[in-house]
Amino acid sequence: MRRRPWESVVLYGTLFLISLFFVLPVLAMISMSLKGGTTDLTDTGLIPRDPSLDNYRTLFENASSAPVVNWLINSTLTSVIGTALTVVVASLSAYAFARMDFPGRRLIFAGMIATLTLPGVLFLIPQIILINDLGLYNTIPAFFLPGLAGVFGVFFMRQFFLSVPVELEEAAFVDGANSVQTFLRVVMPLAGPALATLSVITFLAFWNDYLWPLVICQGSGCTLQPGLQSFQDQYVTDYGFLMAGGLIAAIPVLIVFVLAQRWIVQGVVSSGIKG
Amino acid sequence: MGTHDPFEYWLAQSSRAGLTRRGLFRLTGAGAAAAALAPLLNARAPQPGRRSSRSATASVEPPSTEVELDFWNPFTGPDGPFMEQLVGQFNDETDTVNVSVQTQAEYYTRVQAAAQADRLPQIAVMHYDQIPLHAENEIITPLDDLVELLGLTGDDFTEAIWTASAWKGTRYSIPLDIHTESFFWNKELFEQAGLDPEAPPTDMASFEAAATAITEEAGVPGFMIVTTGPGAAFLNGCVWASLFYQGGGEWVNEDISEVTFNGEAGVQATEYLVKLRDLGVTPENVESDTEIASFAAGQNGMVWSGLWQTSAYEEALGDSLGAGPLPQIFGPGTWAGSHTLAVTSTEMSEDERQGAYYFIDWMTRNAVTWAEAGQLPARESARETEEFAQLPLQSAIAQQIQDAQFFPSFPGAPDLLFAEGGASEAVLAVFAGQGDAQSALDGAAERYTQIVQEAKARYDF
Amino acid sequence: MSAPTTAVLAEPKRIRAVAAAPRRKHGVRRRIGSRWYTPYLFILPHFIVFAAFIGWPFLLGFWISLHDWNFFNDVQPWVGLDNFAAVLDPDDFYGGLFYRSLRNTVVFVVMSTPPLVLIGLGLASLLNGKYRGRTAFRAIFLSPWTLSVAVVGLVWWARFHGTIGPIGLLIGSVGLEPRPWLTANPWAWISITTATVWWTVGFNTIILLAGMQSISPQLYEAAAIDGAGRWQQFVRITVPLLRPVLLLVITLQIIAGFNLFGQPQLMTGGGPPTAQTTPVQLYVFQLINGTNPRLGIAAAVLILTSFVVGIISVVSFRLLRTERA
Repeated sequence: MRRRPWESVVLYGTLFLISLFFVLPVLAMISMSLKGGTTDLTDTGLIPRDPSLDNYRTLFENASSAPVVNWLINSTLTSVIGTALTVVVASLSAYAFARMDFPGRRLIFAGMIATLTLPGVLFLIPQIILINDLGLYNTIPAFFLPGLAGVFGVFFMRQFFLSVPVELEEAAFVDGANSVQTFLRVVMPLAGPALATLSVITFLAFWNDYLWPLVICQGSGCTLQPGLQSFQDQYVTDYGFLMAGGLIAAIPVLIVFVLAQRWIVQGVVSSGIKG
Repeated sequence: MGTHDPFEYWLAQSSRAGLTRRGLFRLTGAGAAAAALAPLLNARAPQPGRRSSRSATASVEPPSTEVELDFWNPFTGPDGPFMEQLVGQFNDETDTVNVSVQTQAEYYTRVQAAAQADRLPQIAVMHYDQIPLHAENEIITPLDDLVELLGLTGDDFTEAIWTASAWKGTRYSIPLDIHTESFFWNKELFEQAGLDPEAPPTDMASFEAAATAITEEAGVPGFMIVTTGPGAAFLNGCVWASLFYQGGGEWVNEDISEVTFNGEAGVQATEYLVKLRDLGVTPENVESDTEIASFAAGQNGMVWSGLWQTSAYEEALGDSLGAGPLPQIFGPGTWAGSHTLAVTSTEMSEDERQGAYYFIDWMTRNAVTWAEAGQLPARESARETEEFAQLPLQSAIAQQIQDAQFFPSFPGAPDLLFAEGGASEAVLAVFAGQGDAQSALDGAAERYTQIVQEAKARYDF
Repeated sequence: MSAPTTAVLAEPKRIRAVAAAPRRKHGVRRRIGSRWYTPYLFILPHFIVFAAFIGWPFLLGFWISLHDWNFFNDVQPWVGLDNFAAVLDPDDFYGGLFYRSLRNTVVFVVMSTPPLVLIGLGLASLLNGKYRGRTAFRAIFLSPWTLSVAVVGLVWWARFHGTIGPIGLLIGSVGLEPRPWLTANPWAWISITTATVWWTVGFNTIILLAGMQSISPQLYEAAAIDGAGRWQQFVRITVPLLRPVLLLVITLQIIAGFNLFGQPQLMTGGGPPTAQTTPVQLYVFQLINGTNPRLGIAAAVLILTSFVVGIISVVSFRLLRTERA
């Protein structure tokens, strides 16, 4: 459809205005975080009158009451380790369900998929009790283990493996490769895009996890997101300081988003299909 | 340490930096100072007037081996730094015990979580009204031996506090302080409104007159009433409870089988707050802590706040701050609480336990320093000292100790006022226009009667 | 043994030969001599974690709901179905609070689902064209979705907060009455809904866009030839063909609505009194925190709510299946 010039103007104009709605809050957040120690309430413009990095400096120095560095480390460890383990473990499991025939395959898989329909919070309380009984309260494994147990990764990779032409694996068998070798040498090298999508989605999920770490973490052992909440509680009048903290929690994912946008979009579409 | 001579002890104390009041005493001459300070130093003595030196009363010694202890407190307000300072002082003076103090927000949630995960600190602050529940849940351990060791009896404490730190006949904690709901006014705004800044209102008529005068003449609200926000149930609750006590209200009946805050006193208190709002002395939709921030900024004429706000108000308003007992709207009475010190059930060695006992003993003896944070020492003898008299605001407010009223002693008692579905929430609902005082309170009372009866069955009291 | 990959890739003939051979029903020949336990080894790592952290908790959840469970009991007293009875009874202390939170959740779902779906549809339409910069705009609309609820809650709490929120200030400067955006209803719900739309509408947009892009352009061309304007094309072609995707988005949105937790917790703390913006998840959170945790009741609440959500899912997926047929 050819587009008349004024239609372009309307289109871009609308898109621009809508974009403002999406972007302004974050800009305001950045702006507020740069507005020096105690926020001057009359300085309401978007550009700070006197920009300074004071809030960030205080954040990193104030270790006892606002252990942001600890939280940052915990979030990073949880997300990286959790994602790596999830991708590996889910791929292994998914390959078996996709390509191997064994007694119980259908039953086990159906059981696992069934849990996808249940809301995550249903497990909240027993998981708390389990983590406490295992002595894992306020530890990194506690943060990623329930996520690792999730079935979405298995489902997602299985979809991918089913789409790989069988001939490649069959040829490998004929050549004398066993399952493990076929998996590692033939199938996995093809899985780049799928792994990228799964990794990005999983990383986001771990980094942004809020309610679960909130209930089993404490003080400096927390990850960034529940830490941010206690932060908001404590410094309720120091807005610049709060915004700086929020940005620390947000910037890594925004960077990931910018770099990996394609995978994220694919991930979103797959989540939809899963639904 | 280990000296038995009061004077030596005082000298050791006064060499600490920052204790300017002690420095003042140094100038007045050793003998006079010793005499003046003797009641303070002997504040542990159960009988007032009996001058026993440390060696005569049994005391706790610090342990011989080094121990590290954790101490949790909920002081996220302006009183927090004072406690940290106090603990720092303790650490400086005590060789073998090092206490690391942690202030926790959402305190009891943290304590519960730590108890589940077996990560309790050795020493914890317990509000007096949480003792029964935490004793039943075995989060804190009996302290009968410490009490006996120190020779403490109920004579030196306010009766309700002394009773409340025991549960089913066993002592579980040592009272540290009392904090009442107190009355603060802005002297400058009083002057602007044509009121006498040195003559604060003392009854219903004068209170309302002052509030309306400030609102009209000084252009700021005369008395902000919190109606919303995360802290509303607590802040409004303390104000309402004071009015409730003034009207002779009782939380439960004799055998704790029925909740009775929906009686006359409760309805009267609720309707009085609504009346104040209708007078126009407060804006609508005051969010919790706004009344505090506004008062500190000189934008609120009068406020009923917890005693722990004293230092923050002092810092903000300086000489303009007036502080004293609550006006007697319906009679004498004020909401009050008390912090106590308890030892938790976490596993600890004999030495650690001794260290904890020593810490608790030391803290209660030095409670007068804690008074600078706005907390009234729980021990009457500590309040009768000159040092305490030097703190003008606290002394003025301390007059209210006799009017202080407390919750009855059973697990979950404070929930009647502060928790979901309780009295404070009912009052806030009335403010939000969700019904009248009687029906709102009736609903809350009915709900909590169920809870109290369940607790009675569960905990057998 | 040489690397099978190179062998395979270097010999297309062999592939064809293999492909022509008969195969088992699952598509891969069972290798002669392969171990019976290999599949189980593959699924074992994940399965162990799954059984421990999902399977076991699932069963434990029911078990907890049948007791008066408190963290500190040495022995948890058995109460059978009492917890469920209490939660379902509107006159009960816990039941009353449960119904209140359930009502709040429904209010939110009803209030937020239409804008989230319709705005998503609108944005998808805007993005469904060929023009420069489309990818950039798509990125902008999706970017809030990558943030966590903690950040979203913080940002929008600040936006709406009386003293410093620019919305409040803006309205004040124009001379209108400043609104209690976070402290009174209906403003509090509006604030929460606005934050939620900002946060998650990108997700809906992407899914709807994918759906739109799978509609054959010939349909539109044919309609244009028949004289249909753009709006008519939208209503007669796009929407009907998008029905399954729309249904999916609506369902996902409703389910997400029932999971509402972070926004009210961070922005309004559960709302103007009394608990006017406390949804079910926040009520559960309150039940397990504080000085009197009642885990049995909380577990019962979660089971009942999951049941409701489950019914909604099943109904909608039945509908979806008939749509697709």
